[in-house]
Amino acid sequence: MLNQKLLVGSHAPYWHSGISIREKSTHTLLAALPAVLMGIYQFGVPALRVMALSISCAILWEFILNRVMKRPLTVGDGDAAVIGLLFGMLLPATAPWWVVVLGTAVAVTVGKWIYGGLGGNPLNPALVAIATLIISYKGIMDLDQAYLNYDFGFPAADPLKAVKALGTAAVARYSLTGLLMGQQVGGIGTIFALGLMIGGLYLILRGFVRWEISLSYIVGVLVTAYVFNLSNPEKYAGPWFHLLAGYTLLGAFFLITEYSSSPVNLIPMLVYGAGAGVMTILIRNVGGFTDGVVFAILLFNVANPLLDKIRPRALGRSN
Amino acid sequence: MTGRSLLYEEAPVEFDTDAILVQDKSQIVPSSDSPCVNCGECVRVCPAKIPVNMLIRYLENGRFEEAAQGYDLLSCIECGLCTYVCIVDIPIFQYIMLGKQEIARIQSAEEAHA
Repeated sequence: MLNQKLLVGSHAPYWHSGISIREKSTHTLLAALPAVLMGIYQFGVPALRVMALSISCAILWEFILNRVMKRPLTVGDGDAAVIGLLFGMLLPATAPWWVVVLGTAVAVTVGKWIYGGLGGNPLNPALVAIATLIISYKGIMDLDQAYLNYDFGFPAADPLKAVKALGTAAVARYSLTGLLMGQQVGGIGTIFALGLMIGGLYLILRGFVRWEISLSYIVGVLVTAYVFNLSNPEKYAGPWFHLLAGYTLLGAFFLITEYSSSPVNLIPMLVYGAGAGVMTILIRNVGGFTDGVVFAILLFNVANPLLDKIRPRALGRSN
Repeated sequence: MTGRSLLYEEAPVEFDTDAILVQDKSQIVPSSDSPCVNCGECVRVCPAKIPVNMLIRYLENGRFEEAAQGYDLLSCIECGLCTYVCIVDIPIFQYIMLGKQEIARIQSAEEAHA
C-alpha cells in the first residue's frame, strides 16, 4: 500500500444532461431566424446590414471586454451573439451604424459585464441598450421617421403611435392577418408575429424558455387591453391588436424570459409575467411611451429578486 | 449519480458496493467556475424543494452557516440531480457536500468547546 499513486477523483454525479449555454444560444438564434428573415425581406438590405453589424459588434465588444477585464474568452458560449441578435431585432432597419455600435457597447458593457458577466445581470442587456437609445435618440428610434422613404404595399404608419394619438379609427385599416404576417412597420425582428410565435413555441418545447413567463405575459397583455377596450372602444385598441403590433411577441418569448433577470419559482414567474403584461398596456394606453414593452420588462426585471422570495418550503423545514 | 470515485487503483469492492461505473474520458463533463445564470433547472428538478439557485450563490462564497439557516442546505437528500441539469456545469453537489462537512465541523468544534 506504500507505493501506490493516488488519482485525482471527481465528485458525484458522474453524468451530465449535456445542456450548455452554447446550445441554448444556437437554438435561440435558430428560433429568431423566421422573424429576422421576414424583416430583411420587408425592409431590404439595410435590415441585413443592421443585423450583421449588431451581432458582429456585440461579439467584438465581448471579446474586447474579456481582454480588458483579463478574463477567459467567453465569446464561444454565444451569449454575446444572442444579445446582438435581440438588439438588432428591436432596431428599425434604417438605424445608422454608430447607433448599432454604441448600442451593442451599452448592451454588452452596461447590460452584462459590469455585473461580472453571464448570470450576473439583473436587467436584460438588449433592453438596457434599447431603453438608452429610446431616451437619447428619439428621432432614430421613431418608426414613422425611420421608414419615411420606404414605399410599402400596406399601411405604414407606426400602428401603436397612430392608435395612441388618434384612437382606434386610425388603425381600422390594419387587418389582424396583415399584422400577423409581417405587414407592419417595426423593429427588424418584431414585425412577423407568426414567425415569432413559431420560434417562441420551438424554444418552449425544447425547454430553453420558461413557458409560465411567456404565457402569463401574453395573458396579462390580452386581459388588460381587453379591459381598456371595453371601457373606451374609440380610444383604446383591442387585445389582439396589442398582441400582434409592436414589440409584444418578441418581448413575450425572447426578452422577458432571459435567465438572470427572470424568476425561477412558479408563483413569482406568473406574477412577473402578468405584471409586465399589465404594465405594457398601461404604458401604451396611459403612459408616456408609444411602446411599453421595453420599460415594462425592465421594471419587472428590477422586481424579480423580491418576487423570487415566494417559494415553497423545503423538506424538513417547519418555518 | 451518487457514490465515490476511485482514489487509488487497488481500492477494494466493499460490502455496500452496488455497482461499478466505468466511463470513457469523453463522457466526463468538466465542471466550471462560472456563476449561476438563474435558469431554474435545478430548482425544478430538486426533490427536496430547495432554492438551489440561491443556495449555490451562498455556497460558492463560503457562507455555509447562512446557507444552512436561510436556504435549506441541510434539507438536501444528496441525489445529485441539480448538478446533472446545471446548464453552466457548476459542481453544485460538491459545494453542498463541502458545506455540510463545514457545518458538521463547526458544530463538533462548538460541542467540544461547550
